[in-house]
Amino acid sequence: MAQLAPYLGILLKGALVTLGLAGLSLVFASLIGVVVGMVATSGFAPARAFAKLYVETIRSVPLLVQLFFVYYAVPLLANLSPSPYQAATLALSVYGGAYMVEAVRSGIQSVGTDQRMAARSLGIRYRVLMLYIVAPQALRVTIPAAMGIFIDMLKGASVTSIIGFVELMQTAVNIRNTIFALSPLVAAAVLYFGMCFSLSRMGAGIERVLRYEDR
Amino acid sequence: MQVLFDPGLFWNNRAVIVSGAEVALALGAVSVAVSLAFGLVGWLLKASKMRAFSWLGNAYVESMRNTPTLLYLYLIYFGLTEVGVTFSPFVSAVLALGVQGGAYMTEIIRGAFNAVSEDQRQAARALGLRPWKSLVYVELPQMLRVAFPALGNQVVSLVLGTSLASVIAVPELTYQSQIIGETTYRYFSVFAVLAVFYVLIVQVLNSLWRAIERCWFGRWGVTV
Repeated sequence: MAQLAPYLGILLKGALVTLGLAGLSLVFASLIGVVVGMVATSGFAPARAFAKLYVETIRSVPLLVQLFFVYYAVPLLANLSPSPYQAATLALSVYGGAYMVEAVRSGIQSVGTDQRMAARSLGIRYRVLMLYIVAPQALRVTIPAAMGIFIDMLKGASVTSIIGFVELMQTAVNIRNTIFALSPLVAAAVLYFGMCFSLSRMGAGIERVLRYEDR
Repeated sequence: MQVLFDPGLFWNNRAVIVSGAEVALALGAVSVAVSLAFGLVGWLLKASKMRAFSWLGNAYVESMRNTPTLLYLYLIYFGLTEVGVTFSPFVSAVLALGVQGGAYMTEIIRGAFNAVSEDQRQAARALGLRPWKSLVYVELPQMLRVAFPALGNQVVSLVLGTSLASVIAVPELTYQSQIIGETTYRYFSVFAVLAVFYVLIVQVLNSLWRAIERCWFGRWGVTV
């Protein structure tokens, strides 16, 4: 353990890099989730089929394979050479986005169709309906689910170490390869646990606050 | 510019790809079995009336669910050698996937057990069934009915998790594809087909699971 002391700073920095990657990807994933989620609940069948195809494909392929695809295969299409960080952000966003679509879809569907019909018969436009009637109620379902997805993405960020992005996992492995001890990996485990556990507690807290009709 | 998609590549490497798929499925199957065992132990701990045991069960579930799978692969394969324990890549992967999947299994089993009402247990006892007979003939079938969809999801996520075992050189599907990619530089063909492989495996598993569910529980209707 004493061997590890000089490296604690780098490990913490690794944890911040992991948080940063997952956080940025969460922003993109949320955008994807909202847009495709609305497509998935639209009345246009081909659009719904596209949304389903996206969600099903992403959920049936391991994150690692998606990362390889983005990092090694896609660049061949367009003569790009993305950095590991760019590839990691893209892959993680698309991955989280698929789960986010489901979270948004179940949120929108949790709002009864009678409310939509009432709004339509009152002459409220689609944009206003979604923004002021559906969204506030849908968020109660979507936000707790999104916290779970964020935790999943934070854990998934560890996989990006395999394409050479240096985040918490890779930092721990590098330190382990320098001092040959179990402690860096254990320290990484503690950091991951700290981040994810506090996030899941936060998620549970938010869920309690949002479930106002039960009180 | 090279040809993006090259079917001949897969025909030439068919033996390697098939063996990779076999290893992936075997790894998935063994991991499911091991995670069920861990899940059972985790549930027994968590359901225990002794505070220390239930705390331990909770600690197990929470610590596994809040840390990445990759960490366990590294801890078991690289980390344990530092303290003198060495496992083969395959066994390390089984342990890593099993011990982490076990935490999810714990929750699945716990949920299923709690879903079977206390009345059923009391009725079984009142009819003179011994506790273990009540468990086997009354509770377990209903628990399985409740847990079945969640079990299917867990099986799929374990099968997807086997791709991570490529980092410790278990010769499964992802690992073999990486090697084909590195030697031929046909990354697009290789990873596109690899993704299709996983989609196929997952879709087949899903429909198999649904078929079994219909066959076993179709008569039961939606709820227990």
